[in-house]
Amino acid sequence: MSERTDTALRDLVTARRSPEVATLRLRRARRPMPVAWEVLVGVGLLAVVAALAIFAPLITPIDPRALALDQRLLPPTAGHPFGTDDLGRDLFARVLYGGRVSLGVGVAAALLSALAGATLGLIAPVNRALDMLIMRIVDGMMSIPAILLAIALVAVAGASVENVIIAVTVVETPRIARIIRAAVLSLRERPFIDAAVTAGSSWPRIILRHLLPGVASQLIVQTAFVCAAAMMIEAGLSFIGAGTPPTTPSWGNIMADGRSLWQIRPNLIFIPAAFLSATLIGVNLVGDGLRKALDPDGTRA
Amino acid sequence: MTAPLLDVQELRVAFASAAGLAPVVQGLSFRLERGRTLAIVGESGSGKSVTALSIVGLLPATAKVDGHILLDGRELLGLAERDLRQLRGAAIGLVFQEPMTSLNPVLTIGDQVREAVALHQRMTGALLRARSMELLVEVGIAAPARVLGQYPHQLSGGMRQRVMIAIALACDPPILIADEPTTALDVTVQAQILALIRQRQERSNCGVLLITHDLGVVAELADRVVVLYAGRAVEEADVADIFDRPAHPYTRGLLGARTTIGAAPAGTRRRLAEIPGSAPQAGGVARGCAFAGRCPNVHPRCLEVRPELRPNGERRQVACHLATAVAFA
Repeated sequence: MSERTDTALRDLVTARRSPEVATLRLRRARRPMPVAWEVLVGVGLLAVVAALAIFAPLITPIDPRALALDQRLLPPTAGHPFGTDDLGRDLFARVLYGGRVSLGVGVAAALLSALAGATLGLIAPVNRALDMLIMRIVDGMMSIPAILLAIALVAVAGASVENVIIAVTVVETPRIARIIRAAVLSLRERPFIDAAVTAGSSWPRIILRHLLPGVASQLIVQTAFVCAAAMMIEAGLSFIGAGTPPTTPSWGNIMADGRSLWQIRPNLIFIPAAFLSATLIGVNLVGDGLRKALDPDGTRA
Repeated sequence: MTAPLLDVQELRVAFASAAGLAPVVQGLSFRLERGRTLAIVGESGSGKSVTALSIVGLLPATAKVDGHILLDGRELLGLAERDLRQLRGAAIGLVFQEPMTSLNPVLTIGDQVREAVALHQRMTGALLRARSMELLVEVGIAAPARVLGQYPHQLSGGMRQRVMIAIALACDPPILIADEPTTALDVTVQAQILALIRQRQERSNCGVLLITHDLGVVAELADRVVVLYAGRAVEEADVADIFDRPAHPYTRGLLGARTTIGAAPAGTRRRLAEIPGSAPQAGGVARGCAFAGRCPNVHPRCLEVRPELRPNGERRQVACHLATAVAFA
């Protein structure tokens, strides 16, 4: 490197630490992000539900699985804020612990679907044959009903939370893969991708550096919706007995346990249902708010 | 004699279409030397952008490319994607027409400039950042530290085109291809960008391949001009000869269609001279001269036999039957 560039480089390195640059950076950081009200409400709802689920052992000392046959079907009292079920188990504890399963399944399935879906959606458009292959497989996956798949999995591998997550992931991955693929197909035709190619970028690099950030907003929004769908599917599966095993409380199987008694003790079914609804509303509000914030014109799907 | 920097020989590009192969470039040859600027001039659809893209191997898979593209004597056509990637950016920099869309909207300028540098040079951390800032300074950006942290939408068109040039020149490529670099810019900014390209060329002694339809840009930058019509070169000459003594009627038509100030007598309005008709579609002319249908001097022979590119005077070639027969002042 020549003498001239050496000096120039040193000047620039010094310039970087100038106070002018520092204030500029601060100003950029302080600029407020526009936040939709939906996000605030949604995050608030989810924070409450998540806190109850995570800190369940601190909130209630009662074991959600402890039977107390002398305390069956109690109405809500001070000792049992939500009452007890037909086996004398404390509904409050069951609902809090059940939230762990529901939220866990929702988050895990959403993250796994996002990972798998984004990978497929980003890779598929690289070449036509691959696209054909991946998208037909995805179409095939999409045609499997979640409930049937879960029943089959439970029949083969036994009832477990993991199997529920797998079933939901298999069913939800295609949705994300298709949306990401569609976004990549349109993004790929933009001139800046050609520009990146002419700069000498390889395809893996273009996918990670240029395409992934471009579809990130849609990926985040879809992940939120998949999270809601996953919790719903989990509850449905548990309700019919094909999901979370009855020994582990989840909102779905708590409701299933309470359904025969709902005329006598409606709290057994409505309280877990209310928690599930509040959580789903929260997740959907967050998703919707993010969609609005990230795509204010509603021009994209 | 050493091999020219870029030697394009008999380049043919055709696109597969429903009606068979549609030829877009039909046997184009030209040479680009170090430190020189070659302009390829033509209307929309004459194949000039396709020529530029074929050099960097960016044409879609439906394109059929024949001929030779030699970079320092090394054949680029048919090169594996891997090897081509080594050359893109390092040996050939490309400036696109649309600075609005050629930068990734979700990455900062810094991300994109740094990436261009790091793709072909081993540089990290403070050095990489310093080199990025130096590049921006070299393209006349006054506050490089600020611009590095900004997103493309925060910059004006001219600034974006400066950034594009900085990216194209990040690795000091011997060849810079500028595909209509000023078309999308304001006139005042155009002049700045042209001056910038010329200044960068003087500094790095790179060969510039300029793709344009704007003869003003040609006059400003080019040393040598290839006039392209319907995928074929109709005239090739030094820039002064093109402007002072155009030999092909199409070249004369292009020159006549320029706007000039003060040409009209007071109180009258001079009408812009246009070239009647429109350029033929890709592969639309089977025989004869492609320009015959629009040529003011058309001759029966023009409709039958295609004129080949022939030497016409010193350092110039023309593809016209009448170029030698008719004297043009």
